[in-house]
Amino acid sequence: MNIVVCVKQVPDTATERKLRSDDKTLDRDAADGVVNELDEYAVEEALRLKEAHGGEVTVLTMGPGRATETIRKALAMGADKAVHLSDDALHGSDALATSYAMAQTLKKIGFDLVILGSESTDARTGVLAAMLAERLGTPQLTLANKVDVDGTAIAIQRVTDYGFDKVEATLPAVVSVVEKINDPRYPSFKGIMAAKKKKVETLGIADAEIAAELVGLAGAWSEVAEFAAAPPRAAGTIVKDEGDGGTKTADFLASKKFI
Amino acid sequence: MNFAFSDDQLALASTVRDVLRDHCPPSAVRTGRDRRPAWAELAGIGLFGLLVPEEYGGLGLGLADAVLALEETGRAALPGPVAETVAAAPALLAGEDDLLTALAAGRTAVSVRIGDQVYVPDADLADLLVLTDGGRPYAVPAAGALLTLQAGVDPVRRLYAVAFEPRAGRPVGGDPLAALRRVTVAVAAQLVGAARHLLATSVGHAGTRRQFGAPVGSFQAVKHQLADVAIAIEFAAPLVYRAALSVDADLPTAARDVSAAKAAAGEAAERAARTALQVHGAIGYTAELDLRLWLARVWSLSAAYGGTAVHRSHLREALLASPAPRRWP
Repeated sequence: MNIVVCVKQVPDTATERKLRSDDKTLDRDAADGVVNELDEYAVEEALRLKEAHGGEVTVLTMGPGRATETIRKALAMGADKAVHLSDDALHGSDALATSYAMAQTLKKIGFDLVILGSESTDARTGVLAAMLAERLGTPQLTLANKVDVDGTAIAIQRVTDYGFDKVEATLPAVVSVVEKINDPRYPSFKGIMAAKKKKVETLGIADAEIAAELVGLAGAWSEVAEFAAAPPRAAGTIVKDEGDGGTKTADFLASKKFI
Repeated sequence: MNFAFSDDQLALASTVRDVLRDHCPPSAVRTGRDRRPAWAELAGIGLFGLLVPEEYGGLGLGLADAVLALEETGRAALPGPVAETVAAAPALLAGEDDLLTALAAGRTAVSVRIGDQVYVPDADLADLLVLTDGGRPYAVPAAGALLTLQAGVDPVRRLYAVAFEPRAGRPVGGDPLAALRRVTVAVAAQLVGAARHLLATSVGHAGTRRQFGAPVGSFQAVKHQLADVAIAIEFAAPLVYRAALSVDADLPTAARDVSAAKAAAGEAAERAARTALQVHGAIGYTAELDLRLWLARVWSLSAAYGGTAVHRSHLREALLASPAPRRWP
């Protein structure tokens, strides 16, 4: 089974994240880059499927040169090879443009199963899996907390507000996973040392037959018009209990429409 | 020549750091000692086979590759005979195929009594003890030795007097001096890590604790002490890394470099501990604050495998080629 895991490098959630003032895109230099946490679950699930059913796991990432750190981590966990889609023309791509670029690349490299995290911690659109499936013409099995593959049949449990749905399809397919699905492994020292010997193929937009006018800031369908820093948290109101603390608490909750 | 750490060495360290953040929080150091927190996970990623040759399932790397990972174990105050298992055991068990295989697989925690050591650290948490007797190392299953707990400063890193029946010990062919140098550098790395933790904790406290209407860290008397700690750590760390390289290459200066590393790391860590206690004020003395776990570890490790005074005197001998003058009649 040819499994492709899509991973994204995101700014460390533990640090303050910023937008650039010039083109209003994410300032990737303002924070350390880390692997998007949900994508680690995707890598783990891909590795488990490979261990159970055989095949090969390819890591696919789209991002600037420094995203190689993210590729290296996924390779150290045990993925077999990687494809790095990197081109200045892709800078500023929105979700639609990203899904187009990723789909073109996936068509080129081939796949039986595409696995990705259900959303990234920076953009948090959560739509890439659905868009990819549409563009690739494959079933989409999103928000999975369990994945079973049997031959070309695939079944997942999709997490819902009330429990889960069972969704079945046939390969090729696109799956997005949630964090409850597994416990990602730590890269072993052997894996870390082996990672640098694994093949990383870097593609530009021409290599993946991506039309330049459909990606990047210019090709984006959505635009950041303006942005402002989140206002500092206001100091709370302290109410002195003079025998009427209960009433005041109830009034406060009522004013916020809690009761 | 490039002295910077390689991507691989940095990745090994950051993996160990991730494992310890998840599996060895301060609460595990405080109450989880006896179940050796994070050891299973560290064995899983291959930490204990780092210095074991590849033919036994290890990675065949050197101390320079392990030194940053060991620093992380000091930063987390990881319980158990880590430095002994990672650094000393592969040298002591050289040539013992079965023992090295088990060590590389992470099945054996090892503690040691080599050099001038009288007691065995964390002998109760070890599966195998390697004890020198008359200069010769013997491997003794921990279950076959009599352990007597000694009063010590660190409630987590415990020291044991160990007695064993000579016929219960298996002579092993390793080199006690090579093991002693490696474990001394490993402990020096742990001291640097512990010092870094103490500095970070103290800086954090000084930034939030307010007196006279300002954070205490805004006062020069506090700032300067913390800056001195930072300088001491930054001066000690390169000596530790250098010692690791010297030991790996078995340079003629190895003994000198090991002593310089241990003395500098011990002094930096003791300064970090003393300053942390001062900066934290009265709360620093309390058993409830996690700080005391790191203070005790520093005091315990700085005395291990030769204290600062011993290594300074070795250093003096190596540099001046003359023994230290006696300071008392």
